[in-house]
Amino acid sequence: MPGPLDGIRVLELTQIIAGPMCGVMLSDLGADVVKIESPQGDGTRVIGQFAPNESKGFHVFNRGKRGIVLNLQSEDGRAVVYRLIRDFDVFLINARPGVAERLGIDYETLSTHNRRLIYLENTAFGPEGPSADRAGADIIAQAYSGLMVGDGKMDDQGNPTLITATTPADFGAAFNGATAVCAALFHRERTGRGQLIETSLLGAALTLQNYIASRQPVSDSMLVQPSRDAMQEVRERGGSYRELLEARSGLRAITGAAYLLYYGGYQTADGAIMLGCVTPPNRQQVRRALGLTEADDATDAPGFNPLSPDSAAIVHHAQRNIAERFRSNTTAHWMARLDAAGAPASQVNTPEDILDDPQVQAIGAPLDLEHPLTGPETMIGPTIRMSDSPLEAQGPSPGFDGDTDQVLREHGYRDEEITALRASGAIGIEEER
Amino acid sequence: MPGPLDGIKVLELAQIIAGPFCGTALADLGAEVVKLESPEGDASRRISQIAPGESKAFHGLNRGKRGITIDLSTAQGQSVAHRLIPHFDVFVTNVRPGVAERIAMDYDTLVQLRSDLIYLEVTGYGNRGPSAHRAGSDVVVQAYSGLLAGDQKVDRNGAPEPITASAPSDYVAALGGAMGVCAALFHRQRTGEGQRISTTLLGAGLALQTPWAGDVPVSDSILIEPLRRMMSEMREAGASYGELIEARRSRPNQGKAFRIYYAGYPVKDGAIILGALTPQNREQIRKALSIVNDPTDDDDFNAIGPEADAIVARVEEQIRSKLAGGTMDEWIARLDAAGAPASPVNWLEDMADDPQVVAMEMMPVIEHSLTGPERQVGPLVRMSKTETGTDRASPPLDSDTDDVLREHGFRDDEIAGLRAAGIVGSGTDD
Repeated sequence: MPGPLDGIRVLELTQIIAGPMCGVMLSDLGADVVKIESPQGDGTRVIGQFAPNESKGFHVFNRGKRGIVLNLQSEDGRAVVYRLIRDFDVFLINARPGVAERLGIDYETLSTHNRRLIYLENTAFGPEGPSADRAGADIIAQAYSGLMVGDGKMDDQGNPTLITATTPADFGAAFNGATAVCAALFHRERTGRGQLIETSLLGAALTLQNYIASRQPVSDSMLVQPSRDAMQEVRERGGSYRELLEARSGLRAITGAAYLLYYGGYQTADGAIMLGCVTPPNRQQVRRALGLTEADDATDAPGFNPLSPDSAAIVHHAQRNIAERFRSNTTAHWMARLDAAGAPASQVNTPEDILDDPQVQAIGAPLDLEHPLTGPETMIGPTIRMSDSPLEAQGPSPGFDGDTDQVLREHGYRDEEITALRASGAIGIEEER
Repeated sequence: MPGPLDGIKVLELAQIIAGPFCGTALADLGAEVVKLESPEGDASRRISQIAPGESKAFHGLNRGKRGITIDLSTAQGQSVAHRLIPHFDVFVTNVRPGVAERIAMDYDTLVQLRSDLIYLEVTGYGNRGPSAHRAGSDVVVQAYSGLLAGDQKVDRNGAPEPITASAPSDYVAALGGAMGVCAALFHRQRTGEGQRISTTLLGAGLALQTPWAGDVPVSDSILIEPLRRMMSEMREAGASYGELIEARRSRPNQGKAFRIYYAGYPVKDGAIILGALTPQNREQIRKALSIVNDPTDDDDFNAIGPEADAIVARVEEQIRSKLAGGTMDEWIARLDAAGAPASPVNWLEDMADDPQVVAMEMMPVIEHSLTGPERQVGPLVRMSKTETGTDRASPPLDSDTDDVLREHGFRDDEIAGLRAAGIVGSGTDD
């Protein structure tokens, strides 16, 4: 059973994470993905290199693709794209606004060569607006969008810290781009028309903050406006980032404190456990598992008012009792009890060990691949299952310039044309000239 | 211009974030989404309520839908839902494994009623395996998947901290599910076949760790294997979580030099973030900040050598003291002029008015019938031929039950009977 995008051809000119990951997802869905690289190669190839132009980052963000090298600075190189694009359904690009136009591979130009083309452009800030031309990266979108402040963490020197070792805006944009490509394919199947799709890291970072960033005047007048006012005062007297964060968290810290008792982490005798309660019944399950009574924790008792002056003491009392309870025994002991109570909780696993986890294996996430240059490797494969058109990883990442000749040949280039293009530097990497 | 999923009908039985946000993403793409709630309603209606059953969270995660209320714990309620199913292309649910079977809303039952149904289930851990039946929520799966430990943050009690105020596994599972649904619609258009799609918070947590959770032996033998050995020895010696994280954080790590130009620094009036990915980016930053004597991009710099930590710390201090002397506007102007990736650390409360957000129309105004106008994060994707987005707010509980049932062949007296018996409706009208 082939994947749902079986037979769909994708040409991508992307690098680092957001664009390449979108290509991986389309490949997992069954599309034939060809990656264009410049003669310098995708920047990820040299981040943590362990063989020439081969890195773990490049391997995981480019599995399942074939790789060709084109010099788009040369007219001959661009002509290759124009000839190839007629045979492709989808084009992916992540470059700053204006770069595609300069290289002559913008939507207007490419769609004259293929009227049915679906063209996905991912940028940092979107193609228009005052920040459109600024350089971007995931961390920039985290900072710009408010995601970082929402997390509110600082290191011991008062520096704002990254919210996570991963890159949520990149992944959000990649997933949404792949969703839109599939929707556009469906639309094209019904109407015959292709189109331009635009996503941005900023949009992805905002999406991750859905209701946190939204403005709801009734709700905000109670919960958000007081902290905006407090922040404004700090700003006016020239306060630091630390003071601004403290002002912002004032009221929120009080109203959210009871909730965070059961939506947060605790140390155990030999590790740590994370609780993820979202409803009062969840919290009751945890209390049952820990053997806590209303005397130990009154935060869900009738009459508890998070806005009343004595609430902080009640929350603090509960926090101490929960923390003490967890510290008194092992992770395994408490997890068995929490599971038996049906409470949402987990031991804190480490990324280095996660592929050995039986549940991770049960959902079929680990993917074993054989890279032609660097040998066997295991990575995260597709984690979405489809019963009639299953997702399936198509293979390892391409070698640098690994498939240029073959792809051109499949699309009608004669061997002598390929040799001439290579000699002129329009295709292929520099070492081979 | 209607959206790409124009005419597609989605029935959603979901609550909190992952399932509902998938429904919103499909609504943004033009699908007609009907949200099916129990008489108590989606639990997110009661997270910081602003009116009975209305909350900012529910509004944000459920815009663009119509709402119906059916008591699926009764056989009659199930038969009402079963009568609706033949009219729907897609069914989205995030109930725990086993619940759908108990209320007769599982794939095998529903596919009997509509043979080309596309059925999406979002679960915490998947529908098989030792953890399948465990309760899951975003932060729990952050912990389970390794995301939390990978972030390496510990609070003052030595406990792990959630990585973000957002719920990344929930949102990514939702987007992955929407992708699966769109791909399945394309597949159905070509073959006539529907199918069952499964997506998990655990899978989303793993996907977010694509670059780290993989196992590439050649690369790992240098960097990861020593770490795994060290952690395993420490665990056997009874080390605490805080000690394990500290050891993990301070290990020799090629990434330390990278991190000084991919990090945040305080400035006079707030903070800025540098986001350099390439040596060129780092050079742009050095130019903008006049940083001298930084060997970390030299060919002979050994990132895991014995001197590396001291060199990195020295350069970091140089950047830090330089930045502390200026304001956000001053530094961002210089960094922008050099073409370097950098941003002020913005306050999310201000984002709706940010000129870039306004220029891209990323946060449109939506009018809610009960609570008035609100600014929401709109669709992240723009499409040139098929408009995305919605001007419909989230549904009040039970707001469209009668209309939807009527549209799908229920007579008024039937609806009145079901309502009187408490099978449909939220019970407040009884």
